[in-house]
Amino acid sequence: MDSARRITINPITRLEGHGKIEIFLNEQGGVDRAFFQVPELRGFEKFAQGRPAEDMPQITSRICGVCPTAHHMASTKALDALYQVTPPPAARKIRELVYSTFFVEDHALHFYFLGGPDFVVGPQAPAAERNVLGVIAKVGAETGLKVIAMRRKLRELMALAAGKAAHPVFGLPGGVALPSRASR
Amino acid sequence: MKPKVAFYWCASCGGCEEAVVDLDEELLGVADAVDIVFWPVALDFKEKDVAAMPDGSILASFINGAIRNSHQQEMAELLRAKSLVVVAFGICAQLGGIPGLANLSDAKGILAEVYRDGVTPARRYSENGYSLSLPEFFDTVVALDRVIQVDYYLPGCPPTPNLIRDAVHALLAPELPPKGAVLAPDHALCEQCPRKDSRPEKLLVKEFVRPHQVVADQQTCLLAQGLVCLGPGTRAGCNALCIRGNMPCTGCFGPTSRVRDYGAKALSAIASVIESNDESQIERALEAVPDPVGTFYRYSLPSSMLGRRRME
Ligand code: SF4
Ligand code: SF4
Repeated sequence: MDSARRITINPITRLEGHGKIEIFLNEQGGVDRAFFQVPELRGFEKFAQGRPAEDMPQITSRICGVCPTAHHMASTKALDALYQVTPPPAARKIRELVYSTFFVEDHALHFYFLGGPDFVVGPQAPAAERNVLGVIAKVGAETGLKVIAMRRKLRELMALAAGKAAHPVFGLPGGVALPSRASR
Repeated sequence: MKPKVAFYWCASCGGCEEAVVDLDEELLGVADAVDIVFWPVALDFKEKDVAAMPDGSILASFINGAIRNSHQQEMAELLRAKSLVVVAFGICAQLGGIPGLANLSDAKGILAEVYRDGVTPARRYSENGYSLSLPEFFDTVVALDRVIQVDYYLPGCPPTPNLIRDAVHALLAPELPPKGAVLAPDHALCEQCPRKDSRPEKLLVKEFVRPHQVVADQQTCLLAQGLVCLGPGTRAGCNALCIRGNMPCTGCFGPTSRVRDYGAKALSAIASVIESNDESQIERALEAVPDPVGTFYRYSLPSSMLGRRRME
């Protein structure tokens, strides 16, 4: 295949996960076929089998280290269903606090660090600038530092309730591991 | 010219790369001190950019993730050639990590489970005369140092931002740490644990409990409460994050330097606290550990002495 007629984007970046895009052009230079490939598989579907159900929140969070809280919470809710238990109001609020915090933090991450830079710095900017450092250069260090500090505080808040921000450890069937933070 | 640093992911979750983002304000300091030339989670550089760099032109590559397919092995080899120093970054690269639990099965078993009756990925595929390829999916997951020479190890799932910052500075210092060093404290996690004073001198328990079966006291050593806390067999470095969250340590920092097989060490640390010589009583105590391999080798199966399950 003539290389002028094949465009390879490898790897796709600024998201979690391995991906590659192959675009094939026709004689006129238009797109004839495009393929998105995921050249990776770990096999959680298989190796989760045989593990105790209550270990799932911590094992499945490793599906994605950028959004581990989502996987942790989904597994935790599956445990609620499995054990047929409803978390008491305080536990529910703690879960909601962690998840809402994650929601804000993850969106900030996406906007400033991952997907956003292509738009903020612009799609034509060189690769070396289409990233968080380019965003900071564009919006100014003051705003940039504010965003970084805000994200840090959100992650600290998550760690307070969930143990770890990266791969939380608080989800249990029917509740949470840490009822309150009397002391630490 | 600033020294060049690369980050790359193999079979991992991206959490190690995200942990670099979690350097927060200090990330700007790191970006001042070094040129980051590859970091897929945050930068848009491509494989071809790395391939075009002269050999040895990168000061250090921090490679996370285990090796589970041929593309990951090729990328590890490419970065090894381009770099003066390679750091196995995070427990998946160091010992195999959670993706290493796949060694309880093999390629055939995993593909059959994941794709069921659907289309199974083929190494080569062509359509309309366009040909595509996928990496070879190995039977066995291995740690990074099984495919390339590794200079340093940074443990954790993921390593904490403090350890990452210290590691970057250690590699920029005029005198490098001794080759093969694990860049984290070389003592057991219990020493960093806020509950260590409540851990009895001679810790013995009659039975174990699983985390969802008790309301764990927030002050007392979790192992003393009968929870399987792997702190005694695990390397310090995280500052006892899970325990601060009132959950037992599952061992994501791996062993200290004196231990060859993490799981064997963790298992013996737990077995030795059972207060009984009676076999049936011991069996009963161990009923609360229904999955020994997933408990003790959760992050280290590929680098254990056995390495994998023997398939019939
Ligand atoms: S066994 Fe666990 S809870 Fe107890 S002192 Fe060690 S790390 Fe802390
Ligand atoms: S307490 Fe154990 S499992 Fe938790 S972060 Fe620390 S080393 Fe990892």
